[in-house]
Amino acid sequence: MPDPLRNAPARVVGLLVAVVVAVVGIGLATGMSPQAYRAKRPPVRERADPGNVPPARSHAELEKRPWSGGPRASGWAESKQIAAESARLAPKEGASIDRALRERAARRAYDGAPPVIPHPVQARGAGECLACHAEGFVLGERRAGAIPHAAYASCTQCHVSANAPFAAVPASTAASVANGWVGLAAPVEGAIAYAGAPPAVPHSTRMRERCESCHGPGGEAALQTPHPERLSCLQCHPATGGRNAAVGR
Amino acid sequence: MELDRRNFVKLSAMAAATAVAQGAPRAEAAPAAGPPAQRGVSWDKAPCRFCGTGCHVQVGVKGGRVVAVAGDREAEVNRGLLCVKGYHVGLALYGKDRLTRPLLKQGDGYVPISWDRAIDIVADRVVADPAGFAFYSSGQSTIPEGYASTKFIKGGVGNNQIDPNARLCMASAVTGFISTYGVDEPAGCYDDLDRCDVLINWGNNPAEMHPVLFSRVIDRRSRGEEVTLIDISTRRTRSTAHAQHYLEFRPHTDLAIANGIMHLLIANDSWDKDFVEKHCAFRGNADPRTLLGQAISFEDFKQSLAEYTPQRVEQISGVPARDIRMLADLFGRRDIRITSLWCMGMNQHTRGTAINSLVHAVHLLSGHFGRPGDAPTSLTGQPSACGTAREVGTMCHLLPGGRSVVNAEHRKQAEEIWNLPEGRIRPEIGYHTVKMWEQWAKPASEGGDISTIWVQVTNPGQTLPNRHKLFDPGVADPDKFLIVSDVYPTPTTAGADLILPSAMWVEKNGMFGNSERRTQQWFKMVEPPGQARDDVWQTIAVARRLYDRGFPGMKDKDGRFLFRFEKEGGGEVPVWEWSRFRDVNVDRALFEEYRKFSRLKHKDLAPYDEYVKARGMRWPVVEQEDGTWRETRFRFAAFDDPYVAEGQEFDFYHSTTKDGRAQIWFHPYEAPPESPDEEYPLWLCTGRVLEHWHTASMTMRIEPLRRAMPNAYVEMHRDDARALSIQDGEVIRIETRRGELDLPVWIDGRGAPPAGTIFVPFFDEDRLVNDITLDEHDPFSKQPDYKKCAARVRRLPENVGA
Repeated sequence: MPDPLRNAPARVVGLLVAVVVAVVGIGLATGMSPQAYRAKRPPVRERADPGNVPPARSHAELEKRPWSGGPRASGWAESKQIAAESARLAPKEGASIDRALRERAARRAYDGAPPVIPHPVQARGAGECLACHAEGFVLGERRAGAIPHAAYASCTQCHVSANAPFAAVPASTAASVANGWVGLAAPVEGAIAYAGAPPAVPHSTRMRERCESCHGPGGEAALQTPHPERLSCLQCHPATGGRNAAVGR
Repeated sequence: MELDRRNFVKLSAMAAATAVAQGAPRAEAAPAAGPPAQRGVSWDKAPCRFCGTGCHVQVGVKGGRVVAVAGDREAEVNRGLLCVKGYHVGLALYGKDRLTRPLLKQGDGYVPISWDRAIDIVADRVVADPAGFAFYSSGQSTIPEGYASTKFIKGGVGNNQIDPNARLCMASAVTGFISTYGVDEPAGCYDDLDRCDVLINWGNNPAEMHPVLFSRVIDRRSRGEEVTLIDISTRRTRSTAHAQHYLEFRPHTDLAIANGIMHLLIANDSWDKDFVEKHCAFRGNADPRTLLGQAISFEDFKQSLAEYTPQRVEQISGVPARDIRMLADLFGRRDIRITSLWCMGMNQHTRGTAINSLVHAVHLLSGHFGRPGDAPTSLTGQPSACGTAREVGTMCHLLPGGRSVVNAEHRKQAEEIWNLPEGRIRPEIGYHTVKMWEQWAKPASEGGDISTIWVQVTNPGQTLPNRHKLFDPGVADPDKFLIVSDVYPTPTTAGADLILPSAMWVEKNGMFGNSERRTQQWFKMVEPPGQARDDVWQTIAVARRLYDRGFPGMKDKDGRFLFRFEKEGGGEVPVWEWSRFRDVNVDRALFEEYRKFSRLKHKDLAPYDEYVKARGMRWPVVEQEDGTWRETRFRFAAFDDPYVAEGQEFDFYHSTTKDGRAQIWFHPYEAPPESPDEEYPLWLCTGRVLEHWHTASMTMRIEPLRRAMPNAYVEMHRDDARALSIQDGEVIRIETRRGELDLPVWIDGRGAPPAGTIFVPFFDEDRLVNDITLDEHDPFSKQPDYKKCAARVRRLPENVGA
């Protein structure tokens, strides 16, 4: 499956224009406001270590030295240090959004469920989790994701270990029972309003307020943004995920 | 991908068109131009199915099935957050072994039968022995379900043999409230958690059992607020990890700790004389002991406490004297606000009523009462232990709305509302839970006069203490009959003669009442599987069958059916016919009838339709002059409770002494009925874990929860393990005077008991710890003590020498 973050704008211009015309047309015809494209205000936050990524250039500067084209040649790759950083950011061999999303889904009962913890935990206080997950890190092949939401102190309230903390005793009655649950699938790609427009955030941003947790330099390679120097994601990418609005009755 | 986009356009148009055609959708569906996966999902509110916290969830439904769950941001209780059980509550509906047909025991197996035949069989059992027909209800029964079953038994069958599983869960909290304030349920509410400076957990582990309430407190710290957590416990838990002070006490000695605090408050002259003089009285035990006791003077009270010096309390409890002083110093301060929380540690206690009264007494004596943040608050384990078991009153001594079967005036009021002939309701108190099951398990020839029990929404085959005594003999006795309405096979259905498949949670309409007096409502969102039907329908259908057969109790005094439902504009709806059950909102009709009972104890409820609009409201909910309905957060305090008498700052208007005063109790510490000895040298404590809810009949069928916690275990201190050469993970045998159980050992596990104590969670139906627990219970609440008995462990022969 092609990577929509990189390829979609170039490939489906005509179709997208049709999408926009159709959606706006339908919207007008039915008296609907185009609220789907109304961006939410991003939460104010500071990066713990702004040195991790190259400084963002102003748009004026960009005009003088335009981006040289290509998904990752974002104009700041001149310095060696940044080139090295960029090389690390480039998708690893075999990395694909498809696979990343599959792996992601395997850790959740449905889109929006708190993911399970892939490693053993003791959970003797929040410090234990936040030591690695407050800001996240990459160490060799191991990656500790930064928590994408506010630092609630009782992590194991929502996140439980994917595996038992001890060797399970076999042949438990209910344990042999399957469950027919089919959870809501995660959306795959965001709508793009017109050729060249920033894609919309396809998923709910609830409990995922911190975009760089998944899409920043510490995120899964295939999900990373091509422009990590931009810190105010929702400035350009509208949050349209369904559950942002979901409040019944 | 392009196909996706075409679908996207098409579906966008359809969604937009649908929105126009239907007007406002029931729930805000995903925006029409939203991501494809979210389209077609409708959202609606419901309280979570699990614990007594009472979080609201948003339930996402697509194609007739629940597909997602989100924390409800409109809900004051949880403000958008849930716990891991709540996030996975939707999966509870879809275990592959849902019960979908009525099943009748035949030989060693079960045969499917029709609903018609099943209803006949239940009716037969009532007709054969009305006096011996009992109903075992639940703190998970909805308010209308509990109300219908109470009316069915007490108004219809004509005995008082109905009691709920809540007897095993919070009966001691009830007797604590009644002996102190004269009326049940907490004066404070969860708002106290946002305002307290000090939170004391008394034998309570909310980090696992009430996670949303726990994080509501500790998340204040990340906002820069200071909250001191004090954990008074018999073992270290996840809650301990967040506490500044951990006070480890010997099981059962919490009474000495409470007395020690009060001793120092008086010795230091730091008790709140103004509050006590205006609003309290002192109370002590009569001889013989009674629930309400007798008045004592301050001098008597002081004298009784004299022996509970910090040194003496340290000797009894093991808590250092300096920590007792620390607690007393905190309670002696007027500039801080203190909230106490407790749950099963204080309730499942053979002195449960006493320790509940003592913690209230500590708060009253120190004046830490009635201001936001100053509250003694008990938590419940089930979603409607308060709403149904306590408020409706599905208990053997109660009638709805806090009435008592022994009170002639109360019986008369119920007979009036139910339009019954005078004298229909019996004045004799029925059997409490332990006694009910004992009388069922005992052969008729030995005086076991309960012949049939109908169980709804609970699993006593796993939760009754000392199962070998209270459950197994009845199952084996061919003259005894067990009817079980449930959604999954459980240890209870395994002993059933008749199994009735039930609808659960959002497969039916419902109402719950949580720990903070909050009444909640939800609507059916998906169909129950197969022939599963609402519990309340089952009750009404049996009642109707009895009526049709001429059973006199099912007629009111005008000869009409006891459960009458009318369409708007008149005309009876035969809801006992399943095809007509949804022609009228049965919940709404039952609730409107039940509301008439709610004023006596000032637990006023609003009309059903008000709860439809709200994320629950805390009673008393009182109608305002402008026609709106106002909830009450802080009872007995003039600034918030409309029933406080004019000119009073506080008013305990249900005072047992009828003078507006609350009772400050003294109870002595006394040794428990069974303590470790040479033969059985360890304390055995039982309880719960984060991942599983009670007997796990739902949560073991939810894969992420089962994988995280697949079976029960025994927590043990490493010194005890080392003394017996037991390895971590080794399966060992636990023995008590009532039986034995094999479990793997977890040293320094989830919880860490001190040397001399072991802990076993009770969720695992393959390893039933209640085969070996004690059925001793509190004399007033009749609640058993699951938290302590004497045990020993031994290595299995195959592991010795390994």
